[in-house]
Amino acid sequence: MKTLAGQEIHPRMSVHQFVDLFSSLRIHVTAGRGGLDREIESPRIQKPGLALAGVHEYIHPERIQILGETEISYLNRWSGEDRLKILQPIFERGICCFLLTKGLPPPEELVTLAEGTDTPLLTSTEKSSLVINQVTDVLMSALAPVLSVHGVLVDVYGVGLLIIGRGSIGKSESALDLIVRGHRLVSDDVVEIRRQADHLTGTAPELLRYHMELRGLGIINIKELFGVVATRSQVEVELVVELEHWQENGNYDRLGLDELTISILGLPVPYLLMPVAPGRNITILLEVAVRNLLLKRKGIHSAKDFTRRLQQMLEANVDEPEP
Amino acid sequence: MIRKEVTVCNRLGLHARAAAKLVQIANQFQAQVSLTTNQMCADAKSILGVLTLAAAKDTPLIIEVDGPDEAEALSQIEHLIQDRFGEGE
Repeated sequence: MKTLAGQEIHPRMSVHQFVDLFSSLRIHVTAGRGGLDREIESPRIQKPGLALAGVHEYIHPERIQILGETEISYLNRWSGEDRLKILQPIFERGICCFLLTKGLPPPEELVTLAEGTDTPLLTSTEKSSLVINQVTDVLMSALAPVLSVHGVLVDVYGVGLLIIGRGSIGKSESALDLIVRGHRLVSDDVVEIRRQADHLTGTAPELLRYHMELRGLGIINIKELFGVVATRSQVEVELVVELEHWQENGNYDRLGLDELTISILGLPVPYLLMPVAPGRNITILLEVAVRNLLLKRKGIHSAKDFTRRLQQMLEANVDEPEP
Repeated sequence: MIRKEVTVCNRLGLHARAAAKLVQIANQFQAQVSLTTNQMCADAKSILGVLTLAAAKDTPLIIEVDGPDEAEALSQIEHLIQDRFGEGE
């Protein structure tokens, strides 16, 4: 399988950015401000119950450690001196940050160690379950790998169509044609694709959003020119079409039986190689490619149906007696 | 395919007119040219892509060139960047 070329970026998030992002959870920094530039590398959280019981090898320092009512009640069973003994080895692991939920008052030793080791100690007034759900959800998308590719992304009949191909092959011109025909631009030239589970979402880089460049015209703003319905901020990437100059001996699909895919961030996406030549209306071909994809999803496969009928006819002809 | 890292050294960085010069040069060659920062990757033949890099002064850029005239293309682009796009500062 072909792999879509591009630059893969792994976004990073510091504890400081995390606190800013979650103003809705009313997260405050209680101690350890010196470590706010520590990085949260995993979208998963951890409840350090085992570590508090003395088993430290399963702790993941790159994950946010959530301290809820259970953990704090357990700690409060011990004397101050014992709490220090329990907590010290955990802090020595270089935890990115601790998050204390339900507005619980932190034990004094926790604050002392957080300050002493510059480990951020955050507090939220919300319950652990709510905090865990929201934090995981947002971190999953914020830390998802991003693939930045050359291409144009258009929403055609609700399907995210990614047009790729060499410079000046006519990607932007085809996209403009599609917009004039009522489809919606997501991004021209640079497309950022994020993977979340089995979905690939394509967006435009902030600076570029709703702009296009056409040779001879320069940079234009599609939203201003064609109105809000001509643009869309994001769409699921469901079809990739590569445009290339017609090659006399090019090996183009004539039947449509082979279903090629291209790998994007490890997920297979339907892929078509489409030759560009005078007399070939690329826009109409792209539109039909999307219609055909939608039809296949409904279980109607034109190429397979045709060959099935051919097969039946061939079999019938064999059975006919010789004249 | 050849690649080289070059640092943007003009005071204004890769601004609109500088980007236009770069794209114009890249388009004179058959080879495919891409520019990569630690944030994103862009086709050097397309103005929007190059502008979106928003490469300020001191940004390291990786230039990747692939094609029959790659050596000449790389040398001209590298010269343009190191010459501060002919801006003198």
